[in-house]
Amino acid sequence: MEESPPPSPEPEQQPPDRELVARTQAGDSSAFDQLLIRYQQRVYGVIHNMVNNHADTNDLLMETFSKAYQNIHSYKADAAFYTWIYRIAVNQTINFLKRNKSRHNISMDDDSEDMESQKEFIDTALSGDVERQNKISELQKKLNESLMKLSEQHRAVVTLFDVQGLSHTEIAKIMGCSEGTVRSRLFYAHKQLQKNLKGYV
Amino acid sequence: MFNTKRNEEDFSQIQKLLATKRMEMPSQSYFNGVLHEFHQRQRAMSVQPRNSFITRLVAQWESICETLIPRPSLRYAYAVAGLAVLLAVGLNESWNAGSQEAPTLSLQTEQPENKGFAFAEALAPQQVSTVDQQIDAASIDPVRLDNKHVMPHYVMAQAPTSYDTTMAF
Repeated sequence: MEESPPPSPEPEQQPPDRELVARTQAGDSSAFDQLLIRYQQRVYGVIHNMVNNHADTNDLLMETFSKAYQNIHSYKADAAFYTWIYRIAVNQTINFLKRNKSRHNISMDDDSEDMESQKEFIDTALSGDVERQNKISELQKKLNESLMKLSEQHRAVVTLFDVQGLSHTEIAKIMGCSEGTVRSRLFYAHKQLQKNLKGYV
Repeated sequence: MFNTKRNEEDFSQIQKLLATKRMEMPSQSYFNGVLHEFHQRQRAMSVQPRNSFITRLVAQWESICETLIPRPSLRYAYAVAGLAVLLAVGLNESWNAGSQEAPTLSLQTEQPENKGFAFAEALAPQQVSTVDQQIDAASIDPVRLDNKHVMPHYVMAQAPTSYDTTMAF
């Protein structure tokens, strides 16, 4: 059975994922290009909220789509394509974070500033007077720090649920665990975030 | 069982804050270049030299794991199980092959290879005739020469009267 559509549904005119996947499997690489264009922002969002670093996100985004392209023949149509690509992205990112734990901890300290200084990042929340902007900026920095204190698994669940807007069922499929585990991780993660952001929210 | 409604109420502020992270995106110009970069990387990968068999095997396994087995702890279990199956199949094959063609011990003793024999064989057709050749042949394999190719005989029946053991220049 086809999953519920992803948070930002594909335009009506464009061919469905299943057709594009079938064409890719048949050797039409331009079909995969369409899939990449369709999902690049969402996959970027998942990875970026887990690593909090643009350069690493870009590398992981490339690796994710590269792996998906190489293993497109192993994709089975019983799951939605975006579930499959999210799974690859999450697994790639978790592996990356585990491999680079020491380096990651150092880079995270600088990353909030790095993100704020990046002019290419669009933050619609940052509009209005300067004082409000500063407060929001400080809050976002604190939020990012709190997120980075969570384990990779908890961060992934929070990212998929709260940022990407996926359901517990979808997250369970992506993470390869039960819905109960997803709920449990989500509860724990929210609790930790609330504790770390005490005084801000 | 968690009280979902209560949790939602409790964490609503956190969830609102997390929802603002949806806006954290690079500009559209970055995403316009993603496909181009992807194609570049794919081309670069295709011209890279082929890795060793083991490296490719490990890479393939990692690729399969990342695609199909989300839990890292289970990957090792699957790898061990896979190796165990391969080992069992391999042992079974070798056992079957062994039972069909059981190794036997030969009671025949092999003659040690005589290197001199080859030299003697090479000399034989030429009918060792001269004294020097006879001496050379005898030094290589006297037994062989005595039995087959050259009849045993004295090179000289007796020393000539003019034989002088000293050499004068």
